[in-house]
Amino acid sequence: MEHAVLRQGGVEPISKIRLSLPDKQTNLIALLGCAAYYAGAAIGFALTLPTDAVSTLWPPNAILLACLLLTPTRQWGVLLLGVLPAHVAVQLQSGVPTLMIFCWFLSNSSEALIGAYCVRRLIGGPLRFDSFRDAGVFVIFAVLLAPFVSSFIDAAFVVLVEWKAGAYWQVWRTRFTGNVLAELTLVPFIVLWAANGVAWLRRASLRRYAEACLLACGLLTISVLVFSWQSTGPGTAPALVYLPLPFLLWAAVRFGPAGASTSLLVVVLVSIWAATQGRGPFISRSPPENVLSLQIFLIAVSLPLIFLAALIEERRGREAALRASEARYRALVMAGAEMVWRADARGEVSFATDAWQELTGQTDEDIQDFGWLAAVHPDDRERSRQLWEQAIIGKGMYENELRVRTRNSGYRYFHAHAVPILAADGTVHEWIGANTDITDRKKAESELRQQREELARISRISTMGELAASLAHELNQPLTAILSNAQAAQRFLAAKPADLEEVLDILKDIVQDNTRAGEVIHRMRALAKKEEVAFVRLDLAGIIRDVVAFVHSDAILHGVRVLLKLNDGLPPAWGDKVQLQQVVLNLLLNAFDAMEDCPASEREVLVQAKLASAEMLEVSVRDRGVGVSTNELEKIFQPFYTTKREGMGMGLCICRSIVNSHRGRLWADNNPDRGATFYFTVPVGKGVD
Amino acid sequence: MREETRVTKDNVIRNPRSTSSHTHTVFLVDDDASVRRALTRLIKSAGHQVQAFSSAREFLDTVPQTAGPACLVLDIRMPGLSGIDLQRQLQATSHTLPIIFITGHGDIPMSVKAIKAGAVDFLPKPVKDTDLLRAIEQAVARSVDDRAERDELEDIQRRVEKLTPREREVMALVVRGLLNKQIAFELGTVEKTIKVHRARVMKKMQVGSLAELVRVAEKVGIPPKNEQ
Repeated sequence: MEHAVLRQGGVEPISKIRLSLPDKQTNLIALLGCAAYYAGAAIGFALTLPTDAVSTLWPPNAILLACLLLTPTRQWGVLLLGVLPAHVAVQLQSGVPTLMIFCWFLSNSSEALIGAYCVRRLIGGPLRFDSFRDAGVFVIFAVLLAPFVSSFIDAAFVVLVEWKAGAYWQVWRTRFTGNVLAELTLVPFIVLWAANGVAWLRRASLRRYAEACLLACGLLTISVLVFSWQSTGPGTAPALVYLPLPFLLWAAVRFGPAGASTSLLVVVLVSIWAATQGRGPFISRSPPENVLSLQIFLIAVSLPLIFLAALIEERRGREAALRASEARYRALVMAGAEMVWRADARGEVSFATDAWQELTGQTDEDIQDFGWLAAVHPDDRERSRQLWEQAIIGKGMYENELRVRTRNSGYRYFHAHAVPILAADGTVHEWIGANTDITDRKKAESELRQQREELARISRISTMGELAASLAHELNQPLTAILSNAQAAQRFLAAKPADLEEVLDILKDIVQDNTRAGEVIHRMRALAKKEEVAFVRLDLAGIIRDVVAFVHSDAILHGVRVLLKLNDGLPPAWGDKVQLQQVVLNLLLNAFDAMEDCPASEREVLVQAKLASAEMLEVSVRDRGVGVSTNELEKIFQPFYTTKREGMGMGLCICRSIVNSHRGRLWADNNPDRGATFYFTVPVGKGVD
Repeated sequence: MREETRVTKDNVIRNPRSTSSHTHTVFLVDDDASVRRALTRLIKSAGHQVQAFSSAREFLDTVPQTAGPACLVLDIRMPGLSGIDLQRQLQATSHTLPIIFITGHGDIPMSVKAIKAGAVDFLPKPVKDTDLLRAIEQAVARSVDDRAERDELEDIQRRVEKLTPREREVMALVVRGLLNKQIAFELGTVEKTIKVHRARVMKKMQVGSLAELVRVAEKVGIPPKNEQ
């Protein structure tokens, strides 16, 4: 049977069985089927024990079933037609009446069709005998059910036609067991060899051929010895019939279903042939009993062997799939950008993909246990060890970001991540970890952060530029006081008597004013300074007071009263002092601008700070100005969007980016009466600095 | 009070007494406590009496109608009522307090407004003692003059009020330079009666000559300028 034929074999509804016009391929199938059937019948006759009407092993039915299984459903009709001449030819030779010939064709075809149909419906794809299910379906439907049903028909025909007088049940029984044996031993052999035989033979190694030869020789020798060499009679040792069993198991284990079915066939053929020659352990009673015991023996050996081979094959298939999957994952791991490593339950690293060694120059021995830590940046080392130890103790996920020293003394940033693989009893079996190189991401993040910080700083300085006049005034106040105090002191000292007490007071005031001027400069410098953004716990109310002091002069210039309502006992905030000051400053100055056109008596800004939730502090800046039109409430946070005559439109945009980087929120809303309120939140600073 | 308080070799501050025989007050309004304290000291060191206020409102609420001469040292930029606002309010209530503005940089538009509104002086912060004290002296002197003039005016006013309506008519005609005869004719009476009235006017107005009467009468707007 050609492979092409098999591949076409799929599930097709029985209604599709029809007589399609014979083409080249179907002709071939019919011809092959015919030939096989004929040959099978010849063998069947040859293996018929003397004085028996029914053959011990009747191969044609099994051959027909195998052929059906190997051909597409729609060609079954052609196949059956093709087989008919062979059937007729065979039966005519043995002088069977014409009516009986056709009756037998009917019963034989029905057997093959029942078996083939059931198997095809239930298995779907080609029958490979490589799973318990395949074997089960085959045995139940093709081996047992089909002969069981068709034997009723067959026996009925025999009785009706009155061919070779025989009792109905005897015919049924003989035919049933004979067909069961034939289906069991022939179908797997034919189906498996027809489908894959050529490929196996082509692919098999020399070693495999040698093993197969050894097996074949051993099996043949033993079979011939056991079934043919032994003389007939009570002197035979019944236990000897089990001698071929080791070879059969060998075949099943090493050569799968095909090997098992082939070996089985060898044993069957040899044993039956021996019996027909009147030799072997099964020739001891009346012929029908001999045949039956031989058949039962062979069925009993075949059944478990077929299942065993199927199970072994199934397991082999799963193992192969598992190996393939493992190999796939391994390939993925090796090919991926990630480094993958393994550690035992105690956290001692036992394996890492080559990427680690290539990067760090460490050897496999170097990384063992905690050796890998040597390649970690000294600043990250202790933390990494602690995190790793915590994960091991807690059996939880390990996650860390660390710098790893490369062999050319640079450093790369990695995100390390490991999970424990738990055994059935809940203990850690091992750890599987992966390191992802995030250097580029870190670099991009850091550049972005620097740019954002720089932008924020520039915006701050530009805001301070707007405040220049007010700041000069703010600085001028203490200078004025100092000068006037100093000159007053000169006068008091020049007086006679000198008023030293007054001079002491003056000096005290001068020191105080000097401090005050220093503070103004300090605040200015802090806002203008280029400094790393540092998140710390800080006093939000203090920050607000600072900024309000900073714009004190500007508020006067704008004629604005600034009211503060800062709740007592606020927890510290978590953030960068200068950046948060910038946000408050921007919101305050915006509020001043918003009230430019209001009557002086109504210019009032209320700054509030409160605890909005357990995690968030909320600051609001409420003005009594013109408010923000509803469709601009979000737009004002976009870059270069401004409602002011002068202004770049970056202030609020930068403020929002600052607040976002604090994991807070900045938004605006109109007040019910008049003006707008800007809110922002910052997280509460927990723990210690 | 110290005579000739010498501060530096060439910086001689005159005793305010030498400017005026009245005691005078320097009012200071500045919202900044330390500036206020410092300026108070400086002004006091020159022998002036100082009264300081932290806001324009406070000054308006508490400052009495002072009898003596005074001047006001005023910060321009203050929360609530600004220096300019205070100046405007004072003018509205016809206060004639001379005002010295002190201001920070960048308050040019405000300064211009202040000068236009008749500020005596305008000093940038930080203020030099000599500048401030000289300005105060000038302001006080002006206040003294103003005060004297106003006192005289009030005095004349009081004298005019003592005149009978007829005497006022006569005085008006006298200062216009009419002769008794002409006056008698104007008022439909005899010259003799006018003479009596005239003598009474001279006495009540406490003047010795016609020229003096004319000067005094002019101060209280007699005769009205449009009739001249």
